[in-house]
Amino acid sequence: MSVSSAMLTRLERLGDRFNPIVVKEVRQALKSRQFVATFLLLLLAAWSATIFGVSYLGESIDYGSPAVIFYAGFLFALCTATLVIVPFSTFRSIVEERAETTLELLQITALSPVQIVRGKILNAMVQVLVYYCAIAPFIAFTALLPGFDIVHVTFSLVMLLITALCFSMIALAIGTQARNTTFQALSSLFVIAMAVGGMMTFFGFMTAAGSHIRFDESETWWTLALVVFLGLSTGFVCEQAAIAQLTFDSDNRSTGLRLATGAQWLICWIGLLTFLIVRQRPPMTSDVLTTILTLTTTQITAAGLLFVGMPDSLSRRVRRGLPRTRVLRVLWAPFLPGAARGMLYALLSLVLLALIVTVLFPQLTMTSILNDQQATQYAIALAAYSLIYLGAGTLLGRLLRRVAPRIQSFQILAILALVNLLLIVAAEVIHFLSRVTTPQLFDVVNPVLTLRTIADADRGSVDAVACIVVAAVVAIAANMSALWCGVRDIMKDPADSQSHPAGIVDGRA
Amino acid sequence: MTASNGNGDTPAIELCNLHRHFGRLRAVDGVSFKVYPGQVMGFIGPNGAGKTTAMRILATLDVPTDGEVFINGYSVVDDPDKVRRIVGFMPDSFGKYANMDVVEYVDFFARAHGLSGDIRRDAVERVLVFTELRKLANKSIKTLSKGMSQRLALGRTLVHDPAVLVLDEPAAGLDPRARIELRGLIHVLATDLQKTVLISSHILTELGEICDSAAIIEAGRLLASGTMTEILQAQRVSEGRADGPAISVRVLRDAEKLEHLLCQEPSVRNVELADQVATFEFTGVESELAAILRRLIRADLEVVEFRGRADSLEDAFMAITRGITQ
Repeated sequence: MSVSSAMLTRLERLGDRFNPIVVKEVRQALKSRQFVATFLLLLLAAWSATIFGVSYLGESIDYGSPAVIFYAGFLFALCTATLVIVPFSTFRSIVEERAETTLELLQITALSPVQIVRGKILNAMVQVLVYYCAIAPFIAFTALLPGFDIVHVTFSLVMLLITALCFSMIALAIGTQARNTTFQALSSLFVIAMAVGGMMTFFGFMTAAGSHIRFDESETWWTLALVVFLGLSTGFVCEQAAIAQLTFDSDNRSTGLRLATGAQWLICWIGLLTFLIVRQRPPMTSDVLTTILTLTTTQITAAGLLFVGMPDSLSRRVRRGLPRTRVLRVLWAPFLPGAARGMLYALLSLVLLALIVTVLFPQLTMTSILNDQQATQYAIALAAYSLIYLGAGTLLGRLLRRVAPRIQSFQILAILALVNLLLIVAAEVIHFLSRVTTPQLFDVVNPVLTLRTIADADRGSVDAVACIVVAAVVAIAANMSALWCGVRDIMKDPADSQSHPAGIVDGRA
Repeated sequence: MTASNGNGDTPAIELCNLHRHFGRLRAVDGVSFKVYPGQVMGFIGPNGAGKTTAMRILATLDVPTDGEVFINGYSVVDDPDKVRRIVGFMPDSFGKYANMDVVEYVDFFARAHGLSGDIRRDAVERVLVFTELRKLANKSIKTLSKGMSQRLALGRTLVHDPAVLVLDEPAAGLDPRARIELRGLIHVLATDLQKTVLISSHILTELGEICDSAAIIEAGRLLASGTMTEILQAQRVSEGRADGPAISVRVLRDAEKLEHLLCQEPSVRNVELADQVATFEFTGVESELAAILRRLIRADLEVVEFRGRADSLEDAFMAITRGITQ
């Protein structure tokens, strides 16, 4: 056997270990006009920029910092390819699989949804690396010019790689949701807008502020770690959403997403705690803490609202995978599919967040909002709003599911948002007719206005908080029986349960 | 959980009171039937009858609203992973990929089914040889004709060597030659390779030739199922006929005399005369039929045609279905 044939055999054996989707997509990409055109355009742009730059600068190329200008040009070309073309082609890839019905063919093979999604993402990364290879000689050329900053170049290229990964994951998640042509067209526009906007922001930051970053300061690394974590964890949540979309109806579509969203905010808070303890910083101001609190509560509420729109019944297949002991089953309950268990998940997340803010933070970092009455009121109102939305979502989902058993989470969410919007408009109309401009109690239907009023410590905010808290208690009380049923359902022995095979609720069946 | 035939076999395919509702539309409404290993069953019904919906459930692409479906004893809802290893599903749409040639296409699906190394290479080769696509191995799949595409789709379905094949309209849109060739391939799969096949088609004459059993569905409901003999019997019952086959006799003249003579025969029923052709139902044995012909000729009737009209699947379909759509 010759050396080349032996190598080919080894390569083929190696190929057996790769995800089949990666093998297929790379084969397709290498033959596709879009990839070849992008690759050639990237090379052409870089060549043109180099030749134009060199001839324009002439002998002055040896003075000043021409490397910065050249690198900015190459980075722009690379950003366009990796942050716009690659995410969009990843989006198109899954949309075309659905349109050509090949997605169904994949779903009935031995490939799991995780393999399908990771294969698509890996293929995106392979394309990104090919574009990196194409631009590498030009970056090497800039290294010969004065003003070349290896640290900044490395930093920007690594950050670009991470951003491209996140963008591809987000684009893929959007692609898996787009089932009809109208939604596909609208989401195409959204993905392009997101990619172009993101690319411009990234490029703008890297060229304007990127070179001023002080890598010798530990705060820089903490900040970078936070940014990278937020980006990658958001990408991971999107990946879980894409996996859930491709998962078979009777399988568990929810646990992965619940764990991912829960881990995202929890790890951020642990990181924040660690930073404050390790760095021994002075206590954080209430403003900073309430801002972080607002972001976290919004994330928990948004995730919770998606979960509370799910049908409550569990399929036999999911039941079969439940832990054996009752205690473990109860502990696992918030992460299992179902609207009531979705509400429980959000409720427990809020309780955990409250514990961290009111007990752990003051103990470990001397930072507390409890000393600041205004901040405390704000936090209470924030949590109460979250509970009101979650409670209303759960209740609305239960009611709508009686008339339309196969209604989707996002449809329930849209109806809830519409109802809230109508209430806000009604409040504004009352303001207009009564010619009263100061905030009134009925303005509690507008969370943004109410929270701003509380933050500004306007008169009447105590009444508003009391009103919201009462509404939150009502929202929880209205769902107490559903919450109990959600947990009781899990406590049953899986072998005894007579659930529907696919977990479908259909009154007519 | 699953039933068995007289030989104690587990049915290869078993539908138990299968329902699939889309809002108010009952696409499949209480369908139950069994297909035993090695059988070829035709799944027949007009457009919108619920065939594709039921087949998608069998292929683990959809879940039932109610009822159970088993493949070799595995529930399609509880054990979709095991079912996918056993079932090969060929949908009515081909599912083409851009920038891919025939061998890459089959190779990809072999990889997707978890085959690796020499096993994968052998499987790809076996499929290309079986579907006679070896000479087109390096041709782009986008440029294949409809007939070749269907062969490739069949190859993709067979690449993991499934025991059960679910073929949804495999002959749709094919020219006569391609249809005959495809029919030949399915016949080989059933007879030589002992696959269990559930096949839907609108071309009933072809199904009649390759199927040993059939299920007729209309508006989501199962109207008849069983072996071909049982289906044809159901047709006769629905037409109010007895067990005997229909016979037609054509004479050059004296049709009234022919009718008169036939009515006198004890084993002849329901004589109908149209033009110079008399059609009747015969309930006797074959020697009696020969005697009837002899007597007609002795009576100086100029018989130019005397033939039995075998009941076909088409007749059964027309007799059993009522043309209901939903």
